[in-house]
Amino acid sequence: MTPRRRRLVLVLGILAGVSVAGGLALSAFRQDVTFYFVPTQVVDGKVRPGEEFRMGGLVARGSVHRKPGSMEVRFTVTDMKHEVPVVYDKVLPDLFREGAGVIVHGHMLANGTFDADEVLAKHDQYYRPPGIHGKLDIRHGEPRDPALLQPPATASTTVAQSAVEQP
Amino acid sequence: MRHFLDMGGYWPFVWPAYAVTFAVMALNIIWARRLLKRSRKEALRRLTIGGTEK
Amino acid sequence: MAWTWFHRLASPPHVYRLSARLTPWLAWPAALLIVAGLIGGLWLAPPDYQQGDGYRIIYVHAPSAWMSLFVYTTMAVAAGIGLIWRMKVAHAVAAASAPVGASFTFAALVTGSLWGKPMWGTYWQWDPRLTSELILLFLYLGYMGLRSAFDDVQRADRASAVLAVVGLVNVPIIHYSVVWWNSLHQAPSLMYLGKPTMPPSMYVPLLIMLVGFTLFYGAVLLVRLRGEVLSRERAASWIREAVRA
Repeated sequence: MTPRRRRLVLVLGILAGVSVAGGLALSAFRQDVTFYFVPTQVVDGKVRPGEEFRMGGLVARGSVHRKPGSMEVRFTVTDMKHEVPVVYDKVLPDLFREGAGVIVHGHMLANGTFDADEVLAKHDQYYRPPGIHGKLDIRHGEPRDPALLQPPATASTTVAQSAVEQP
Repeated sequence: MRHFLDMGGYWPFVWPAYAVTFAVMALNIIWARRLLKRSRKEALRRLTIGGTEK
Repeated sequence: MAWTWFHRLASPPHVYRLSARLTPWLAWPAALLIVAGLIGGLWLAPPDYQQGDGYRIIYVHAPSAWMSLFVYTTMAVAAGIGLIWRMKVAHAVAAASAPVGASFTFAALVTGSLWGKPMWGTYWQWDPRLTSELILLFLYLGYMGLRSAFDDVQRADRASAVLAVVGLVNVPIIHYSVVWWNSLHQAPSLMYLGKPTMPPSMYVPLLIMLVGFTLFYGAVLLVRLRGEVLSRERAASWIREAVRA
């Protein structure tokens, strides 16, 4: 083997080795690497009990309720298969809406409600000008156009669903 | 014009983002020219010092 | 193998002269495209139905992020070629690219952070996309730091090249992070295969900016490359005429 070919094999070998090592490490640490769990995983008890974690999904339509005279708000996070109720008492992000994506951080209470200390809005990769399908200009907390409530099959939703299907 | 600067209320985020990006681009131009100037000066210095220096 | 064009690229004087000639052909189109992209993105493109005018950060954030990946790939491939074929010029391309790539990565992280605060509600999260992009910045800085640890340019070239090649696995991780794992950052809007997730009035300025940024990198690279090539030559005779020009 010429010296050059040997160097080629070495470089490709390094690349392949690091890729395999990285892949093994990531799959081994899967649960600890998970940024958020979906309601189905939470309901199925896939999350280690007593820990703080993140849960992501959609804000269920009609589920947002504010307690009058306080900052407290309750809503339900759904992944179209299971739901988890959430309670939160700080300021909600601008893009928080029924039917939209949300990621909450906190812990489960004994009564099955998720006590959130942080609520983030997650938006999908679709952009469009306002007014194309009618009532598209969103105001905080209002329900969206029902035609948009079926989430577009974003990659994250697909991954979450396939993560759920694994044992 | 005022609406353009206001960016629908998002001006504290949009304009700093553009400013940072263009600062990065300007710095890249400046650093590149500086590197070339320095290298030319260095190469000239090596030439005038004498060729057999190792 | 009659790869004359490839072997000529290994010749420092040839590369030096070619870079000087090509630079304006990249720099001017880059400037024009970026101006056109700015007009398109800040003015002509409509606001977004949910993000309003805030989404216009995409016209600097996405090209910066794209460049952070493109430049790293170029740098790692050049470093690999330098290692395998022992080409000084290839190492020079890698060394010249690193600061440019690092600065684009920084811009991507900062513009992304500024975009995340109003839309997501946070400046930063340790989600897969953001975390792996930050790691990319560390890889760039590590490459540059490793270079400076060696007095001998050739040793610096070889050591840093290994780091560059090793770090290449991070690039597909960054790109596919939003597909492989649950993340806060959304899936890509523009992909080679598949429909764009925005109408032409929005994605045309984005494409223009992507090309403009790429040409900008090309022009900056060529200027830096000349500097790097010069610093790798001893008192070679071609320098005499090239530098006095």
